[in-house]
Amino acid sequence: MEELLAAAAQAMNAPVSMVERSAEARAKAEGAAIEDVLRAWSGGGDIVAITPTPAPAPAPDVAVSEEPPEVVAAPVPASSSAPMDEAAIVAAAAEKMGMPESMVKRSAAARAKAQGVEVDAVLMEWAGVDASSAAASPAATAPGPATPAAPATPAPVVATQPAVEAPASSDEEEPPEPEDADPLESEQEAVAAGALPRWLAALFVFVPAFAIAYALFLPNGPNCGDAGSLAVDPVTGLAVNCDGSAFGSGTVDLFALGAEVYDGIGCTACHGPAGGGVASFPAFTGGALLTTFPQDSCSAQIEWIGLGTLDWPDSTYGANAKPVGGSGAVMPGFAGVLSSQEIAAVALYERVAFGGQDLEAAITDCSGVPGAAALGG
Amino acid sequence: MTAVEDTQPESAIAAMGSDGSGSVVKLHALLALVFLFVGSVLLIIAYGGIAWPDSLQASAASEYLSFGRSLPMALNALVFGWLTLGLLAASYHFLPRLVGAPLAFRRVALGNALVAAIGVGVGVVAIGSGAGAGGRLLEMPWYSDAVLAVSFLVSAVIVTTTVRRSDLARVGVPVWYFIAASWWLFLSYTVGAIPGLAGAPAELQSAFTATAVFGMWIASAAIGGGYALVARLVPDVQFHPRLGRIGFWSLGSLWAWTAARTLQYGPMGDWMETVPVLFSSALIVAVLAITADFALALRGKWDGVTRSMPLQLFAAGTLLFVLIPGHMVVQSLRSSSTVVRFTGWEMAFDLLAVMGAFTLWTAALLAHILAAQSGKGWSMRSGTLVSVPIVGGVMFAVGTRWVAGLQQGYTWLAGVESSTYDNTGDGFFNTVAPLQGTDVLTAIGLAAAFAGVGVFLVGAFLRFGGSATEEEPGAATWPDDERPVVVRRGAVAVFALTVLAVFVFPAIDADREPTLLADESRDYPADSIESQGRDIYVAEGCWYCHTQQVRAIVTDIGLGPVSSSGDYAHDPAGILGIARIGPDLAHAGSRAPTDDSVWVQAHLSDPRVERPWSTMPAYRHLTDTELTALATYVAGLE
Repeated sequence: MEELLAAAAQAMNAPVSMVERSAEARAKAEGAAIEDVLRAWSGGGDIVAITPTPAPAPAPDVAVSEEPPEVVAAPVPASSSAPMDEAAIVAAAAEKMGMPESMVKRSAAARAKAQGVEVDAVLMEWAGVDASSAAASPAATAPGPATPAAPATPAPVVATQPAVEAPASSDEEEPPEPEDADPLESEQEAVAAGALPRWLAALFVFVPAFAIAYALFLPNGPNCGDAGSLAVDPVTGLAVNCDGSAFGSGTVDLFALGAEVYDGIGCTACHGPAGGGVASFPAFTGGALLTTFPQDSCSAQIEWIGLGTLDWPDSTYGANAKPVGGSGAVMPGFAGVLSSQEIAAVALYERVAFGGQDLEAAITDCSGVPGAAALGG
Repeated sequence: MTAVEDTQPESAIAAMGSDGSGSVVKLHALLALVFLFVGSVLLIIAYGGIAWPDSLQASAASEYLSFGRSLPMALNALVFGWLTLGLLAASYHFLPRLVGAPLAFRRVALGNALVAAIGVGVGVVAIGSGAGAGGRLLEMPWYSDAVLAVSFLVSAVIVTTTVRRSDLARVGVPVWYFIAASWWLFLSYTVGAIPGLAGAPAELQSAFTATAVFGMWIASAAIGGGYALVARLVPDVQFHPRLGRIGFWSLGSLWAWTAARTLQYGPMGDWMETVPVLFSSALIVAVLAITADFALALRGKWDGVTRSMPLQLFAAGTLLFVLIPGHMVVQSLRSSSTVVRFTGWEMAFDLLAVMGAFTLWTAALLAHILAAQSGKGWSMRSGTLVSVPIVGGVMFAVGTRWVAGLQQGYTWLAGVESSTYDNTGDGFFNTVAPLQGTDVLTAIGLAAAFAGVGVFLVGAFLRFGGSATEEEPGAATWPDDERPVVVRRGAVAVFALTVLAVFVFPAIDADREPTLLADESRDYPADSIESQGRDIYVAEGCWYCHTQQVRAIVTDIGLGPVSSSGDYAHDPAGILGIARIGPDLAHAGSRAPTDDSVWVQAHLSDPRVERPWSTMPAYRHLTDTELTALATYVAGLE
């Protein structure tokens, strides 16, 4: 009894305790002895040491009497020499069909899935080998149990799949239709079976693309100011603001403050987040800013930002004498909205980020004006 | 080796029972389980020591159990004892059944298990007795490294020879993993064992090795085992032809590239910091491919998974595995690493990966193997009793570290703007307060996880007694196959490319010229008191809680001059540190009171006199001479 249990558990690849319970239930249901059930489950006479009786015969009987919910395809603990067998069968099938072995295998897998039969069975059919003899002959020399004739087993592991015929019990089945072996069609089936679910395939493209885009474009670059990074003073070795001023109370990172103000106060609405302008509102990029407010005229730019188009006393502004409101655009004055420090900072930010002026030069340029001097810039 | 091994497959398979690979597998499994017990107890002691810092002082063993010693003891025992020996057991069990050939060099393999176990055991004891060598997962002293490198080479040869003797032209997905992982283990460990590196190269070596051992060895071997396990336990399972291939190659070639995520904003080149951003995001592809392959194959068969104890454990491990790349991405991206770097967040990784995903996976494989060999199955209840406490406990511990780490990081950021804390001295307490509030919870989570581990250990030990039954070799067909030699060469090529890009080139590129700081205040003559102090600093694992690096970011304001890689030119690995459970010490000698070696020595002997909030162990187990050396070293860090 113990040995039988172990053998059955072995053949079914299931825990002994579970096998025992299943066998008891089965025996009760069928009115048979537990030993008989177990013997059938253990693969008949395969485990020679335990049951010398050869008899693959009981297997089909049990299989036939299975109640559907309990039945799964036999786990087919395939025979010991199976890798060799399969390779040989694949080779035979490939030769017969004139296709590469790998393709034959994939096609067979696809076909097997489509038809709900074992891959081996498909391969054997294609190779023109009789299933039962192919399975039986190599196994005869090996001590390993379980030719494909292993019985359909009660389902200790998996029982959700509907019953599927094991290949060995399909001896009487019709051979496949001739056109089934059409390599072209098989190939298409194989491609279909090998296709990834679309969402998954899309993710495989999206994730690396995101990684590359993030590494290249998003604020993780090595630029000062990104993600809280600071500059290093070359003399003291201390971390300092990006504009070189000491970090801490009483000092302000003009560049960072300017960026914050530019994005926060709404400059982006008219001049664009990258200073490229919007519609008729002027752009800073492409040298436009430094044409209107060139080197050493940060103070003029600060004045312009403070007054805007409405309060500007003249009809033109800047070094190139642009007409005020010439493009039809109106800019409010920010003198009452921003502190003079914030206006200086945003001017500095625009000159460096969009005008292309050197940071050091811009600091000198903009810190000479009232309001910037106290910034420690 | 012996006549038995040279026989033909038929008789060879007959020899595969209790006297074949069975004894090899059992010995590996037995040793692995011993290390699981030792390692997880040490891990609880380590975190318990932070939660209740004075609790161990009365114990005679307190010397071995301070956080800086018990944590590396635990990690080395778990990684190289438990996980490595356990996964070797799984490789040796599944491989012969997958390729239909007997395990090669069985007697050598038996001896090799003992050699590896002795190597790890001696190494762990050495760490505990204060002979740790510094560097994450490289703490074991050189003699253990040498023994283990040889042992891992032998195991790779055993795996390769077994496959070769099968005469199979092509092998399936799990065999790829076993072949590649066995070589990756040997190669990663050998790179880590290269002695004599200092400064930036030594830190890169440590970062690379720790990452490669996790990704290229442990994760790969466990996933290979998972494929074999599912194919054995679930009938009619159909794996996807392409997903297996994508998963295999992407896991091996992406994971180790994330190594530098633990050096973000550190004294390495900027390009070195973009690499982990790229690769930890891309690692999602590998994780996605592997989990999707399992999920699609098991579609409609979940009922079977929940009713099989090993599959239950494996699924639970996979659940935690999916979180790992997410954790890595947060560590890598500059914006988020500004917040979480050096906080308690960093410590969550070891808990999530080692104690969580990897332990569940390895336990799943050993549970199946021991049941198959003893003929004693596991009840479904035992699966629940093991997996629920481990998943729950580990996630609780990880969650507490995550939350506390985020709180700590945001406290740093907010504190800079409002000047509410000092980055050093008593003000530092404000930044570790969230961490300390959850120390007890982390320890409780780990203790809960240990309950699951304990159930597994008892069940596993009970399954050593049964008689081995003949097990039929598996012949699952794999939808995709490959020539073994392609896998082996590909694995070595992937490793070569990775080690060049992540360790060799950055090490060459890093500024190794000693800076003024290095030459003036860190170039200690051999046998000087500072040199002895530094050796003690490394061996005691001070760097698990204290960094010695200042980054050019807002959270490090007030810590002194920003570090560059040349500053470490004369230092061994382990100086940079990984977390700030205690304050940064890069320039401890430039500020009061740590510039006074007498104060430092008194603080080391009884930390909670001066700073009641401190969780530092009291270093009374050091002799006065050692304490003086350590204090002199720290006070001299100008």
